[in-house]
Amino acid sequence: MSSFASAPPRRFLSSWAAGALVAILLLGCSREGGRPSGSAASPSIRARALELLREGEPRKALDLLEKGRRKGDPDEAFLLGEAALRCGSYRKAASAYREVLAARPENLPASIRLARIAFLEAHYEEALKQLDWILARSPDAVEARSLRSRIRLRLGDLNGAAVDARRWSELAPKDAEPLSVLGTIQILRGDVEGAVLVLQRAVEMDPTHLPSRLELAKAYRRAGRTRLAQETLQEAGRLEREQRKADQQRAEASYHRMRAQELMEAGKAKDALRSYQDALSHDPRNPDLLRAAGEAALASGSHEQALEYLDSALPLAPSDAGVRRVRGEALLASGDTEGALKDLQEAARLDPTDPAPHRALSRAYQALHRPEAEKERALAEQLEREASPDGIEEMR
Amino acid sequence: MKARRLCLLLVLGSLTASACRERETPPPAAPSSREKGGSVLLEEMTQRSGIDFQHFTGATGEKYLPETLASGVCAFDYDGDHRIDLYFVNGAPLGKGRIPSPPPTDHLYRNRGDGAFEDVTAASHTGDLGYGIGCAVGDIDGDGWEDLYVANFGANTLYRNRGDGTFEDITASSGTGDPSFSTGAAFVDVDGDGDLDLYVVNYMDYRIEDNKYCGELKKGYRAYCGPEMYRGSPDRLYRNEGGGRFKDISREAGIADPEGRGLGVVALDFDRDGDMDIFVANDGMANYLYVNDGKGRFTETAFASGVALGDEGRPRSGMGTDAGDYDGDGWQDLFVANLSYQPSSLFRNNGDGTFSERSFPAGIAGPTQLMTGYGAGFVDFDNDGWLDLFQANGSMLDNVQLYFDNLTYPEPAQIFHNRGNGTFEEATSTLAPDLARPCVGRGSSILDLDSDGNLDLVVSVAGGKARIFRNRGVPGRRFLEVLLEGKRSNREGYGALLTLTVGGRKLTRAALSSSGYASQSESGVHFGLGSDGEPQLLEVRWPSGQVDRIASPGSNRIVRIVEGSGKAEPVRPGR
Repeated sequence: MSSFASAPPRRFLSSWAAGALVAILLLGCSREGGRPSGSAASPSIRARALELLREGEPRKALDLLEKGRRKGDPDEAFLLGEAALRCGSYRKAASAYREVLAARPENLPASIRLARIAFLEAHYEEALKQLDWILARSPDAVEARSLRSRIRLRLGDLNGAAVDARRWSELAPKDAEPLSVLGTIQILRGDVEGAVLVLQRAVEMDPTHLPSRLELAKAYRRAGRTRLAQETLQEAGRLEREQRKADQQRAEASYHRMRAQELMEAGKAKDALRSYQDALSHDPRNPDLLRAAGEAALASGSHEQALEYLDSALPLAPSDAGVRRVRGEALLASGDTEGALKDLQEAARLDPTDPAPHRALSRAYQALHRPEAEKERALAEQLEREASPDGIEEMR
Repeated sequence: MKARRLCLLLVLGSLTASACRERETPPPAAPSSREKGGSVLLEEMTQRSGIDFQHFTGATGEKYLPETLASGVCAFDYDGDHRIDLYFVNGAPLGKGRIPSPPPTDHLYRNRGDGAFEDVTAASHTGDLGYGIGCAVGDIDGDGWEDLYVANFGANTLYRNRGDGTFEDITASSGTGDPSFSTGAAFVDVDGDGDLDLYVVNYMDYRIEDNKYCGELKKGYRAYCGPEMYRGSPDRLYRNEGGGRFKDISREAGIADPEGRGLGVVALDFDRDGDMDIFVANDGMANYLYVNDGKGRFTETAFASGVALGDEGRPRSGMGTDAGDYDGDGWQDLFVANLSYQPSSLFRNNGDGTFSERSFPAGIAGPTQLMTGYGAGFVDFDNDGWLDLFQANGSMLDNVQLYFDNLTYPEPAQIFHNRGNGTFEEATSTLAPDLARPCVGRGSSILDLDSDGNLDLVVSVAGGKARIFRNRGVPGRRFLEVLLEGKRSNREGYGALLTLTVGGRKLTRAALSSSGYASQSESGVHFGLGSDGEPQLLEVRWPSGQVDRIASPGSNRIVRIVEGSGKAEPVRPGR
């Protein structure tokens, strides 16, 4: 479970919430990628809920857990919290995480989620209390560091914010965001040359990071470097327009993907594939979409087409367990069982908590009349029984 | 404008900001303890007002976008009796929606002067039938009678005030019937020729027949689409050609950005270089700040000025906006109400062509984080000489609670009391508990409806009854209300900067046309004077460059200043 605490935050949280709102307006809280539902039924609510969360169906997971979960089971409470958080049901989520903490007072992931919710709702003092507690126990919890840094900055505690941002930067050395925060702090302290240096590093690290560019322009201007300030602002404006266009394309793609998933659920795989193709016309390098299109093609009986999509997805997301799994299934359908085994084993390695690759592996071994088939089937069943919330953060 | 450019260059060239900043007063000290004693200022008087305006959204379940954006309200004296009347913009059936009988129209209410209003829609020949979002008021022909522009989803309407209590629709002959999805407008003299031009804010390239399904595929979960689902739509600028005719100069003026998704507009000389600049709050993308070169050509400078994005470096979803000098330094600052999970933006004007976001340190960010703000205004409710902030709220989703269990469709409005030290405290529950009753707030208008020197408030409600709030005032606090009459400048004096010296302080206020969300407040310029001393000097800098200085303009009265007269004549409402 400690993986939750040390997992780097994917993006700045206030924009996370605003982004969530936009996503919800487009799609509701169902389906943020992930594979379409319809896999074999799991033996427990926990396993099914976990599967639904993996499939990008938090609303269904939430409904399931609310109706059937065992009160007092902290794992199920945590899953409920995750499902609720992804649906924007922050009150429910907070209540579920408190339930987790009642049973497991030292549970850091639940504490971090509570801090995140308090941050999103601008209850900064409450969030700070939670974060102080977390960081006293786990000083390297990246999300806690990033949250506390931002809150301290907002509350004007520049020294505290700087301490957290520096540690955050050490913990996430490839992330431009903490450098951007450090740059802001240095500007506020009047150290414009120091700010320029740190913000230049941030921009070099991630040329698409808009906040770093804006802060760098501010620092240049204060340092009297007029031309550089103007150039940096022009670049920031260009980036914002580019990102806006990309957002619009993604929104269009999401719209078509929603239609596609609806059609998949209705068993109309060919129609679904057409909708996925529409989605891909707006967002052609989205590995989630390519995987889903591959899955639709596979369900339509066209494993060759499926493999085309999955071969395109693989270099874009080489560590995506879902892409590996579906590609393995497509290879299996095409008769390339040895190739399928490689992908399915890789999928199982990438997400050791997911029973689906093991079910597919069992089928592959069965086709080869190999004895591992039974072992994989048993492993899949065991994972379903032991379904644990571990690994959920990585699915976000 | 040359001066402004030079100013900007000097600042960018690392000279100190003070080289360009005409700071008129030293940073103000925090005020003495307040005298309000926690007493209620604003109380609802909708029932007693005689205003029974019920907004029609035309909602059919198809979630057509205009349904959730409507509508605004304009406060102006249409009949010249020095009492402020109200025009409410209304919706209309959309798509397959049934047409009610009688069909919904906009409504004009006349202020009778006895605390009540009467509906004069039919008698005044107003009552536009389009799907209305916003409105704006300006005397386009300088005849002393304020004309009215209605921003619609579909063709807009321009009403000329005949001066006899009636209006005539001159849309076709004026050439201002922009058929886009307009959300608001502002009358502003962009070329300094003394007549009012017209800036129209457009939202998106949206058509009913292209309406998309957004939200979950579950019964009741369909939601209004976000702005990302449609292309933007360029704003328009119409130059006043005289004789009631306008010419579309959007392209040559440099404001026809096809990506814009505007919802709020405020026009003002932000850089004090003598010409009118325009700020546009955009939804889900960078805001625009158009800086005027003095000849009616604009350069978009929001990134350089620091008002494009939030301080986290990401775009917000701007709705309503207003300008005012909240910190008493003589420069007009900006306020933008945003979508939920984004704080409202308070941008302090640094006086050097740049702004700094102060939402967090000013205490505005936290309390607005979960609100979807629309109507927005700087307003000195307690007449202490410090501009407070008002925000009308209401989610854009009528089923938002299905998606976010801590949000609701109706939301309480908010008042933030200016502490006088650059910070605000939320004071809704003490100053205006009636405002805390949630509603789906949209447009808002500030006016002194009973001419008692205390600023009152009107809030339009999407799909509900408009709400009227009367300000009881703080005993002992004085005021001065200034009506402007331009001669070389536009008739209302829009764009003028007024500086009043009182009790050792200098209060700077701007004569604004449109502000807030899709709305306009009364055109008079209001000064709260606190309790100490009489004002010593009032200086009016007209858009023409004319400066009038009036010694001892008096207090607790409404005065009219005619451009170039150097005099403040008392005005008695009802005459």
